[in-house]
Amino acid sequence: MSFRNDYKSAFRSASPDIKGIIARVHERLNENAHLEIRTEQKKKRPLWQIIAPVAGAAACIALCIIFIPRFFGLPLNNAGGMNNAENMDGAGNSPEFHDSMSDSDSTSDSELSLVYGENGDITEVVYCGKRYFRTGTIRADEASGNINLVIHVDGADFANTYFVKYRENEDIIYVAEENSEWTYVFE
Amino acid sequence: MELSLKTAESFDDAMRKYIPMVYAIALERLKNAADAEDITQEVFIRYFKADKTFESEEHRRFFLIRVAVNCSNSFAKSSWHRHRTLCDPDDILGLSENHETDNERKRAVLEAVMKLPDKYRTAVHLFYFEDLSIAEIAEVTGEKESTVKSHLSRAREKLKKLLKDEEFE
Repeated sequence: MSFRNDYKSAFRSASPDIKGIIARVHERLNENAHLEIRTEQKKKRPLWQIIAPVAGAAACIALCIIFIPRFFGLPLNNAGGMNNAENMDGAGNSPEFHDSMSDSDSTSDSELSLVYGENGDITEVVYCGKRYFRTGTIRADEASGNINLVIHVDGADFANTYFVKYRENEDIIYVAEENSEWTYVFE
Repeated sequence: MELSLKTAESFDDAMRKYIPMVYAIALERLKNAADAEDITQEVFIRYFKADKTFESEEHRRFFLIRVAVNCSNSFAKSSWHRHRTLCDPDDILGLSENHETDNERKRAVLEAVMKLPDKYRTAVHLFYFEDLSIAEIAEVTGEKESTVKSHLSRAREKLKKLLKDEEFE
């Protein structure tokens, strides 16, 4: 007996499970096919599916930036670095109120009026229905063609120093609160 | 005539025809029936994915032999396989208790071949079992013809010592 025949005969005895192998090959090919389909779907993901999460996140961040300060009562624009207390005058009004009066170059009697004494001096300021009496001196400061008068008055409800802006040939047009002179006179 | 895998039937037919050949190549290289079956599956999956068109049946056979040799070599190099306990020849070949004389001879041949170094075993298998020429073995394994000749020669010397009464062609 030759080696070739013995060898062939020996290995032919080693018969594999052909049906089992075929079944498992088909099974693995089907699994691979599913994986390939999934990979294809991943590759073909539409553009909006990529952009939408990014846009959503950006929108959330923007909303947080807008609403969180409001929720905690913080100002969005802190003009000139002034805090809220600095932005308010003695009567509880904001400087914008005074500016608008200043710009109008006219005095509304319902808001502000002057009371003159017998010698022609201003003795009383009526501002928003409240009477402020002159108690101190009047000092003049000439700047930009305007004459600014400072009068010290005691208000009915306040005991502060008020700055009153005055224009030549015009009446006092507004009052602003401040203890130090000229600092918060709005022109 | 061109051969391809256009239909599932042709793929199954090819598997039925070549599974024993691929399995035997993997078995002689890995010495383990379960590993050989795994490699056989792998070879046919690669064969399917390659979706090659073959000029002839011989061309297809050579392709499968080459893939089987490569897959078996890759697997044999893995550390998992190197530390694995190999099966008994009887378990590998499924030898029965009948035909005791035949079985003795098969067992002896198998044991002798399994004792050969890995690099000789593939050449022996392709030469004696697949009846490939030295040039064809060189082409399939990617080695030089002189190397294949040398491997076969040394393998025969070793087998002669192990199987004293066998004749080598």
